[in-house]
Amino acid sequence: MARVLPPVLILIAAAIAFYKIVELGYTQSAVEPIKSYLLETVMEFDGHGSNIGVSLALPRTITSQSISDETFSSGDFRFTVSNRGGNRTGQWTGQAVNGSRTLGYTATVITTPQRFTIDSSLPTVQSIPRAVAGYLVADSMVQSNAPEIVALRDRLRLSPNRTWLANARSMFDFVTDTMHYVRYSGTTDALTALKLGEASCGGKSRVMAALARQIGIPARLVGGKILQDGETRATHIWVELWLAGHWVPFCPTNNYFGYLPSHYLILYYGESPVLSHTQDINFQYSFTVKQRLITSQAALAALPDHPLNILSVWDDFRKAAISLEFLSIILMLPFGILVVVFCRNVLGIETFGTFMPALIAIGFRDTGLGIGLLLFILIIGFGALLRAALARLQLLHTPRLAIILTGIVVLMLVITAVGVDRGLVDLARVALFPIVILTLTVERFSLITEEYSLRDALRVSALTSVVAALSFLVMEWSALQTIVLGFPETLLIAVAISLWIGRYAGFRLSEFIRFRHLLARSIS
Amino acid sequence: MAVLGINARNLEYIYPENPRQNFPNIDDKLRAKDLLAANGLPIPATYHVVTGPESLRGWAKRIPADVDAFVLKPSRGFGGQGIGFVRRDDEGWSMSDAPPGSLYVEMHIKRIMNGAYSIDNIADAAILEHKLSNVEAIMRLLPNDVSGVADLRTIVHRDRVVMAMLRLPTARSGGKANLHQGGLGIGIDIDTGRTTLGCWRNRIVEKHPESQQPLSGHVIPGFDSILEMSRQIPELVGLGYVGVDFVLDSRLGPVIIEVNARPGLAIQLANGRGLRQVLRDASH
Repeated sequence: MARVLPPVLILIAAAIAFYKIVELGYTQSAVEPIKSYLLETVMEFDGHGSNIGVSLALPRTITSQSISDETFSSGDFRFTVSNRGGNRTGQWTGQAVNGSRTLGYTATVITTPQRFTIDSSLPTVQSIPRAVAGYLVADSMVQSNAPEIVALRDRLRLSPNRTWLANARSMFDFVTDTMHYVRYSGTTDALTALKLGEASCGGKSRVMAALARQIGIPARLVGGKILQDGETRATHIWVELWLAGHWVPFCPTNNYFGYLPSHYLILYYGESPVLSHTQDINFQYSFTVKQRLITSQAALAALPDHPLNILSVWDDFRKAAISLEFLSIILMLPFGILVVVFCRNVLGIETFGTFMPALIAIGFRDTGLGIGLLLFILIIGFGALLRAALARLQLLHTPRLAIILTGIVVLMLVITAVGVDRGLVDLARVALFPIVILTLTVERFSLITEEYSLRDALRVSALTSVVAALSFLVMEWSALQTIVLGFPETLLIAVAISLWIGRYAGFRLSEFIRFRHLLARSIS
Repeated sequence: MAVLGINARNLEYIYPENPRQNFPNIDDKLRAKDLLAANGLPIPATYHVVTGPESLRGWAKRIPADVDAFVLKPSRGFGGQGIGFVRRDDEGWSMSDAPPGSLYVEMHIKRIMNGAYSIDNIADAAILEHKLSNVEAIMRLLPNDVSGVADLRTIVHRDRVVMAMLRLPTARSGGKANLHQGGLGIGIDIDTGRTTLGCWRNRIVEKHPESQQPLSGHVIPGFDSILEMSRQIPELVGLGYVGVDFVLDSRLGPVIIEVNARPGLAIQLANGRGLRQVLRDASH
């Protein structure tokens, strides 16, 4: 039975995988998770009996970005969405508001970077459709007809006679390299920025827009967010120039020429603010961005609705707020455990506890391998010292463990505080280490020290670290993760391997060393 | 290959021949002692068993007046943990590794009762039993400065003793006979009852590493009765593959102190031969 089962399991796994590839059309791009961002906006304020209005620029689904799973929390406010001039705005209004209120907006964003290759022969002078002509007109923020802009145009040798690309390159290089960047939260118009010779993202973008309009290239400002994990209030501004039916993006602040990177989210065009609200209401807000892996929605749509289509199950999980990262931790655990099984029963490596190395390896996910190993050693060392200090008190087993666990909790909080203080994010994430597992490891370490020797305990610690590291590398192996997410039937293969190892009656590698003198005798 | 590895020991002997439900027959030392005594096998005399506050009160009165030392052990202990040696002195009774005074003896009894040394850390009984001492033949093998009790392990498969080994405490092991802790293992020829060669720290040795005394050729007193007793154990405890531990006591002769359902494999090193071959020969 145990001999027949493994090949049968592997055959079943292969058959399901084969069916999914051939009949359901699974491809690598369908299985491969893609990066998405969870965008969360929270707005808080106090009402004092008068009417309150809040409006927020909302992202739209366009070529470079797709917006889904939007939620709006409005409380007793009325909420409407308006679409004007290519911008989408959420508007909350409340009548005679008293007391504090919280409004919110969340959405899942998937971005596609846009790279424009501009033909170097294209002329600057293009026929401009009426709809775009408005973007050539000077306004109070982009003073494209001002003498200073005309003078700069001549200094930079911008001219309708040069090619579009040459003009764009000259003005981009000027605002990117010659103008200094300063962090500045107010709004700066093109002329002011030029006079100061320094500006933040908005000022630089307006100077570039003014130069473009001056030589007849339509230009518009783009407001949005840079998608980075964490909480900020900052928004970002860049500029787009019109060319033959396309709006080509330029970010002079971060030096992106004709390129919209995947972490740029477009919220609005023109000069409208991201947020506006009634004054004097103690208005507070924050934007939070969280990166998540999700199944490719486009690939998902192309796959048939079938019980074996596991990707649609994952997508249902996503709607229930169960992330793909979490799923991959669970699905990879059997493979991490398999490493432990192999190290134990085939290699004969002695470790603390049966599955302890794999559980410690999960803790490494958040800290990274190097820092994780360092922290593991630090915590075990600290715990062993604490236990030695407690030895004099002659405590019973369970209360002693409770005290060691408390000590480890405090140490981890201290490490986290140091990490936060020094901006070492990996160090701060030690709080996600499995505390109970570490406590039991300390107990095992101390018992081995007492019953055998410190040398033995250190040897087992080193071996546990090695097995934990191997287990971590297997669980973090992204190719394997992708395969297991798309084809969870690979778990059957993991079972098959365990069945094989489970019936392996041969020597463990370490026994060749242990019995080497005996083996040498029996040969001679 | 003649040498038995852990995987093969588990898959081919322990799992098929040692049914789990019979483990309590030996894991619980009180039960094991009853079982062995009921069948006329020699065990160290039990003076008293502490199971609760009632039996803890007046424990000292239960030790016979002519006894000057006894052993304190957990009923459900494992790996020799929690075993203490108690001797009579001016303070009444004292633990060998604690300050003088009966207070420390009682503390140790309470720790045992609270399950500090039991397999699953649940409440346990403390056994107060007769302290055994090495027979003269064993004393001669120990260097003068080494104290501690030697023991003799036999591996029994069904009704056949397949291997035997003497385990001596060394200065390095701190009085313990366990091989993992630095004890010296000495193989015994089953047919002649004489020692062969030794194994110390996974290495084969022909002389005592501390006294330089040759290890081979020593006669084990009462070896025939050790074989005879060992053969009865598997059927008695309901396990097909066991290790039986004896102490060769100066007054009582061979006494059984423990039966083990997962006997270790280092005995092969001490005997200079593999268990697998011996076990195979036995079954044909």
